[in-house]
Amino acid sequence: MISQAFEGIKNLLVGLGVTFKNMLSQPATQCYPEVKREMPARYRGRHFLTRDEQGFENCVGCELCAINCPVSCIHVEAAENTEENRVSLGERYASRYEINLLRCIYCGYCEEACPEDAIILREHYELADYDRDVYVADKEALLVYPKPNEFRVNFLGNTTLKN
Amino acid sequence: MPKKTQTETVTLTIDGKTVTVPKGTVAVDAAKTVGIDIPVFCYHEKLGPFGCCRMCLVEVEKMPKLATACTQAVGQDMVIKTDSPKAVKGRQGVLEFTLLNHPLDCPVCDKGGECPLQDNTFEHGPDLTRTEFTRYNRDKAVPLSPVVTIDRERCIACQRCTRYSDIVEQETALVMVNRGFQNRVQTFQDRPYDTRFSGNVVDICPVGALTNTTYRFKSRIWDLDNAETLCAHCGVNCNIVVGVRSNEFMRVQAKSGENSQANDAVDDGWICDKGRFGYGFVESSNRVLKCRNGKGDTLEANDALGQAATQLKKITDEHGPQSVGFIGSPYGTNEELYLYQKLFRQQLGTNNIDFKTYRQTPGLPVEHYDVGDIETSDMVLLIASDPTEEAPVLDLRIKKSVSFFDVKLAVLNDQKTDMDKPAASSLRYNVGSEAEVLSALIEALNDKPVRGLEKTAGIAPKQIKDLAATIQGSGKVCVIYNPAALTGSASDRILELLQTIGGLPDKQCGAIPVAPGTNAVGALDMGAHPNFYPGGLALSDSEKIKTLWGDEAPLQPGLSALEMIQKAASGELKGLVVFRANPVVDFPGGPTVAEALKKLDYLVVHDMLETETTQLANLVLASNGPGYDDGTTTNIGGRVQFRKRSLVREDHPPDWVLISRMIRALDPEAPSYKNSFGVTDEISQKVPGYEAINKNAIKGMGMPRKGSACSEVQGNGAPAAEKSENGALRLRVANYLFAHDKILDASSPLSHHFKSSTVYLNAEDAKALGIETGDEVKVVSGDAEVSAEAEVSDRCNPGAALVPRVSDEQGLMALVGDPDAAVWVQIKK
Repeated sequence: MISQAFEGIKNLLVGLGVTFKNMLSQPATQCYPEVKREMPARYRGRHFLTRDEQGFENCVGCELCAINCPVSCIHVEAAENTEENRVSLGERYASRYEINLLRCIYCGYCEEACPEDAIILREHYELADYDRDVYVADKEALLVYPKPNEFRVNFLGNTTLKN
Repeated sequence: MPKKTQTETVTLTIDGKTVTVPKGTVAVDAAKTVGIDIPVFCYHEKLGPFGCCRMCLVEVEKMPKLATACTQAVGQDMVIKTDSPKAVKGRQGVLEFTLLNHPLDCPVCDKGGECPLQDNTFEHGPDLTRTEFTRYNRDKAVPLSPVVTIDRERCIACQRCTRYSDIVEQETALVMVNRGFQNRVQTFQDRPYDTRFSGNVVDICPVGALTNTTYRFKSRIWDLDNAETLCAHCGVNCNIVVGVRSNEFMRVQAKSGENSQANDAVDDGWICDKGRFGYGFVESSNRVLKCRNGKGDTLEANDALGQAATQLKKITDEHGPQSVGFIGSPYGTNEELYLYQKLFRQQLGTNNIDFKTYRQTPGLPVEHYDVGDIETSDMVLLIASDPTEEAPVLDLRIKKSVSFFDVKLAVLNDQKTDMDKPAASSLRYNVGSEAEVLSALIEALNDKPVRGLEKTAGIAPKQIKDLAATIQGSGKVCVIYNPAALTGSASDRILELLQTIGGLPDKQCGAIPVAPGTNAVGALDMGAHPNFYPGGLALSDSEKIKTLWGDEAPLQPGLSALEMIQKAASGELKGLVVFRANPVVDFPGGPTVAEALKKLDYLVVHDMLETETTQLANLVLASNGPGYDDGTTTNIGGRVQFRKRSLVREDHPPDWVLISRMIRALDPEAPSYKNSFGVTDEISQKVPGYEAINKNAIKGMGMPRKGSACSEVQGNGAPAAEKSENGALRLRVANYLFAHDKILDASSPLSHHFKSSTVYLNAEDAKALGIETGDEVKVVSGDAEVSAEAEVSDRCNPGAALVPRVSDEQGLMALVGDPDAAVWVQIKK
């Protein structure tokens, strides 16, 4: 019985030890929005469309992202590049590219499927807004290519850069 | 292509499964019957064995090397292994070679997703490429024609397209030039590949080399909702697959082996370019989208149809039932035309119902042959018909029958057509003398002496006798004729001819009337005729009519379409409904028709496109038309098929709803229908010959309706020869399916098929008139004139001027007065 009492006290102290340790340590909670968390490079946040070194769009409008999307939130329409209007280096480009960010489950399958590395999911997680309509991100919204962890970029009606 | 009549069979083993197939079957087809899929590229069941791609290698026991299954005819007790290590390795090697220079284009290729090369590589190909060199680059996106683009890099030289051009289309327009890596598909001297059937190469290309220019990059194939439906241009009613993305039209494909079973009884898996690239009318800017009155105020569909019904009823109450009329169109579905004739006969009490300007009565004295019967005939007699220009897919079927099934083709025409080439004999009579020629042929078939025709018809009696002898010597005769091209009493003579041939001993005879329009056969069957009730019931058959249509069914003969126009001009006809027709341009008389229509108290035009006639209407009812409406049509072979809608329109009711609501506006007791098949069911009860037609019966391949018997063939009256005055030439109007009209408008991708206004003259006449090829001339008849370029050729006999109808602007019908009488024209420089 005495040994049981000792065991209890020992466990109590172990538990309190954890409490005291955490009392003195830095809290994991961050004071968002004053402090913004650095996300790992491979975090699956908002989508962006990329461009190559010459400034042409990488997307060729092949729709493999759309067919791979488990929630069908991507809509792509393609068109042919001409000499006068060259958008991408190949024969074809996406004349319309839309992602419904409310429907998206951020699984990253689109990025996985893309043969041109044209669509990528980045570490941008600030996606709240007051208006549902802006959540259908079109090409204009997707083609911005911000620096890592630059938040609220040219999207959701708030274009100011914050870091 | 094995003959269909062969019955001898052989039994063999494929992968351990025992197969019994007709002798001569190739191993690929034999394997298919037991569900073993041998991969192929160059083999296509409609093109026959070739064996150039080597994809179908299989191991055959006792053969030292691998054999190509597509050329290997099966033999008794043969043992074929498709999955032995040797065969698998062989196919893998072939694919590695095929892919050597094939670009990795799949994400941007239009064929991606439905590509046999993709599928076969996935199934049978090597996992990795061993090539370390850069791929051989070739021309990309080279236009072969305005509607077909070739990507030479993707071509695997299977030669399906060139063999199609050689075997099916028989134009040899596409050929392979050069050898080895330089081998490529090309036209002679890089001329455009602009045949009428060029689009089919897009369907049969097993890679993305030949692509549809109008569909290029528009969507990926998995985006498409495919509707298996019918083409709505000529009377063949080819089966097509319309791809639609988000209710937007994308492309048309033939319903063929690549996507689903081809309908061999109709089109054999091929469609013409108008069917493939002429679907743009569904999104034309010229569409009538809303009902409107004569002042241009937009009306709700229900208000508009109520107005139309009450106004027509008011006219019949005031002026009697003969004061209203209906001009339909061979482009309507059976349901629409049936409901319209019901409205006019039952609610308005008139027989003034018609859809055509030529003479034709329902029913044939012989069997109504299906298109597929051409292949099994011994002889095809083509009278006054130019299938190449009027019903192109029929042209392919005739050429196939002549080349592969030893069918004798005899042509009897007043113009030179492409059909003269495969024909065993071809007679060209003078324009307007068809009644005489047919009479002479009937006499010859009855073994009576043939009177001299050289002067009047330009044909020697011996030629007629020879033709008669050929007919007598053939067991099964299929007569294909164009009722719209027969003038005067020839429409009776043709029936007499059919009766005569059918009455010959040991003779099977059938006919296929190839009138212009999608549903001309159906329109006649649905009673769009002033003297016949649906199902070919003549007005004299009053007993039967009364049991089907009630005691009050009108039995007074009605007015034909042309008579209605005349009565409108004289003021006797007060109200007229024009359904999807454009009399101002298409009817003989041209501008005079417009004058007559203006005199009407009430003109209702129910159409899907704005025409010259809708401009004159007191009420325009918007029609959805093909593409948006369900319905059945009856093709030239009497086969009833379902034309499913491919696009959805929610803001306007379908035509059959609109018409049935008009009937209900006048008779609230009239039935309402749940869907278009509700009307079809009523047709099966009310129309003799359509008893067996219902939703399930016509699924897939359609079903032939029972043709009605011909009421009576009028006896032989020697036609009076008409003489020309002052060296005038007799006008012959030829119809072109690829004409520049409201369906193929200026924005159509087929504008390269539009021809300029041309008058064809015989060298003899041209010499007398001092006209040479290329001269700008005027074709004059009375006050009307049409400008055209002269072409001196042997296309027609002396004494005639042949002018094809090439556009609505040409104004050709202004030259024609009464279509039964001869039209004499002067050619002036």
